[in-house]
Amino acid sequence: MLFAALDGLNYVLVIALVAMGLVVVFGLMNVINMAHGELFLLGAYTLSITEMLGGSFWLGLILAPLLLALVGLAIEELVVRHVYHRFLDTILATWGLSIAIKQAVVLAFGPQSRTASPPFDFAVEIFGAPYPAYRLFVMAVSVAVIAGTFLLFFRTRFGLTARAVIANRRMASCLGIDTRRLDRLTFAFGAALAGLAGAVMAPLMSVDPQMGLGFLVPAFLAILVGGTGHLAGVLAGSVLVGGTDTVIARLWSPVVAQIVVFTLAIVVIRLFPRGVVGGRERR
Amino acid sequence: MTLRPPALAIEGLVAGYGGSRVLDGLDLAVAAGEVVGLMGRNGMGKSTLMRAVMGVVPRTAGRVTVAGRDTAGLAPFTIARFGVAFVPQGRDLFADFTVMENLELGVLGHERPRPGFADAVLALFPILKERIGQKAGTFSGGQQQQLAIARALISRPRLLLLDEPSEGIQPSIVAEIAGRLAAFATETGLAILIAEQNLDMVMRMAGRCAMIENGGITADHPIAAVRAAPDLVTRHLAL
Amino acid sequence: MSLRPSMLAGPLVFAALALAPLVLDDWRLGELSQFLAYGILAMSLALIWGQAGLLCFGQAVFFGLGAYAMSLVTLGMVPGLSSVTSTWAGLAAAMVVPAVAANVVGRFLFYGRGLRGAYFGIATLAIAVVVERLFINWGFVGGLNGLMNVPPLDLGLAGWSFELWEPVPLYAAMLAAAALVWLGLEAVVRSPFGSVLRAIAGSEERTAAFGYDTAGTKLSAFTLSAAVAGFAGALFSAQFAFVSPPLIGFALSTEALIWVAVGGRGALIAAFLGAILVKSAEARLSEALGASWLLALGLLFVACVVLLPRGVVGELLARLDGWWGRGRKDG
Repeated sequence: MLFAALDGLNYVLVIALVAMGLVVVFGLMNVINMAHGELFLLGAYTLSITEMLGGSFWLGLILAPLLLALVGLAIEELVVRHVYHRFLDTILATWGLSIAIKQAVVLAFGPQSRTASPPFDFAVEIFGAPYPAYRLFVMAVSVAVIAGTFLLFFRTRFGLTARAVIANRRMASCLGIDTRRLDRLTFAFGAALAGLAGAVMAPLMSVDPQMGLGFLVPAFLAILVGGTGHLAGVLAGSVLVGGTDTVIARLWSPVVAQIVVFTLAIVVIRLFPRGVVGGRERR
Repeated sequence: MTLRPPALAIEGLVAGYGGSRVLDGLDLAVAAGEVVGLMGRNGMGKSTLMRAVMGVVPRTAGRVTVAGRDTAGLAPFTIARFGVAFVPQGRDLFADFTVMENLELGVLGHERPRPGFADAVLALFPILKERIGQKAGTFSGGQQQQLAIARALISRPRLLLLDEPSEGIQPSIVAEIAGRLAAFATETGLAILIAEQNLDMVMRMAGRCAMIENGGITADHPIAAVRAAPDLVTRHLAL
Repeated sequence: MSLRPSMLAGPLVFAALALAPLVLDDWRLGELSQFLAYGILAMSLALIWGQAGLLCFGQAVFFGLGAYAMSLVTLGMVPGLSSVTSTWAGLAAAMVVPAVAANVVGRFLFYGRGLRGAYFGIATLAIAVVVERLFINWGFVGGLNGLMNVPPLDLGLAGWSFELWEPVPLYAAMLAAAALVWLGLEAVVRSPFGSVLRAIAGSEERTAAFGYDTAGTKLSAFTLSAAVAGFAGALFSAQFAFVSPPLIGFALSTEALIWVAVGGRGALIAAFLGAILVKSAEARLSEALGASWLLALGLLFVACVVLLPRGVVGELLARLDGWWGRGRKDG
């Protein structure tokens, strides 16, 4: 039971980690990044390939967000920048990118699944029973990233300007705030978070070209359920989506869990368009 | 005397929303240190002019220079960095942010201002200093207006665009703000373009009064002439 | 309405397709028959996306529901109705079932503080994933294996049978069906109802402020679109003789979005051609290019969304109209 709770918490935190990058980009730029799952995928591949080439786990863990930040910059410059003013088209354009990235990965590394090794595989005793230490490490990374993102947005000058742009983009620009630079940085930051999430999750998953979608949809549902107006909404949404999924998967099966969670999420989004935490409604 | 380019020079400006021509070949210049009142009925293009100068409304023709630098095709933040500060109609404060944060946002996009300058701006509006930690949304209209002006001034602009600053504010406060701003402009060489329907505020501050009608400047009077014959202006404002 | 070249596009496309049996061998013709079903699916998506601005990430759900309904009926698998196995009953079920499903989902999503824009898109995406999972795990409809030996289309009535086995008659029937759908949807698009749909896409608030029942209008369009998609699915399953969960899920939904984006969301005929052109290109190129084909398609999709929001065919038609208009003004 305790392990079920820990596994559930693990899932919640991973969804929150993936969703954090999504909500930052959505909140600041009003861009729904459907390629976020593929950025996650690229992060996992970065780690797996770094290890294959003889690099350490830790090197891969650092390389993944850095590389993905660059990928994010490129995507922002080449694609997203041109469709800012066409909201629905940002979904389609990033969706097309996700297909292209996935396929590029298949071409480069084949469709088969790869592995990544954790830096340590011992277990720690929790209340007398062994639990994999690496899973605890993943949870710690997620908590650190979430806390770091909160600090960045609520305790720094970058965060202040970012929140000003979210509140009133036009006025922020009239005050001399370089909204273009902020958009670039934000997208790169979101991509780096996806890359980090992918890298840290890689040792726990089958690393294959299809791994992105499995997290994308729950993460989206989490931010819509929680509400996009506030970072805290991500946490609330992740708890609801991840928690419900874990409980139902334990009681029945993962298939039932997914079906129930997705359906419930749609109902919640429909009943609370601003999310359970509240905030602005987006169109 | 050295020949300085005007703080703002507009030539043949055509601008509007979605292809309309709200401004249709407008010319106007504001010299450094000069305060110009822009008066006209609603819908004649006062706000559109402000926004077009700021780069928020697309321009289709004409030239707008700030201190001699062309602003064609530039984003609002670049134009702001040329030294243009904007207090829009409705003020657009960040309501959930504190006074301090609103003021910080006024400078974050600019080079660090000279030390002590922020204090000089705050000295103009003592109420802000008292309530530095309070959220802007809790302020009264007059206080919000003071904060919006302070937020604009704190970047040390050479040109201040004020859109309907007296709207929704008690006359006594309007007079107070107008007096302090006029003095500040004279002291620092700040140029101000102020769009108003309130003749009193314009007469207190401006040296000139330009009339805008159907997207162009139709008359431009020295303020002394307006004082002598307010009819020069008021007949254009009447419906 | 004055004459524009784009108005001739539909008749010309169908006239050209009518000549296909003269140039294509049986195998290619059979392939093209299937693409016509995809073309109908594309038109159903263009109706709600291009006209009403409803970005649906789950259009294949309705296609798949139609395909399964058709198969279950014609295979005699519907409990209590195992003797009703005619193509006509199958087609009716294939339109009614998705229409009802869309109506129920639409009622929930559109009314009150309805879901719009991205929210609607993500909700339909989640629905597509859920429904596909559901069908994979549902033994009655064959699970992952699906249903096999679906009977071919039988145009017979009252005991008399006319099965469409031969490629040419089958193709003719498919083409007639596609032309009928195009004519019907085109009439809808040009009707006052179509104008309201486009007004909703422009601004739902403003349209509602003029007194239109925007939720009801969207619901009608969504329901109609689902029925058309179901019809396409039924035709597809009968000629493919096989249905399986990939027909109902998320991958085919995405493909449909790509066809419509590449062809053009604004004109039904452009979306229809988009499906046929993309699928034809895929049939020719996917063997040669392998995995690169999907990469190229993904990039083409991105390029169309960013550079040609009207789609390749739609852009061409719009330019033709532009030249025509200018030419007439100058002359």
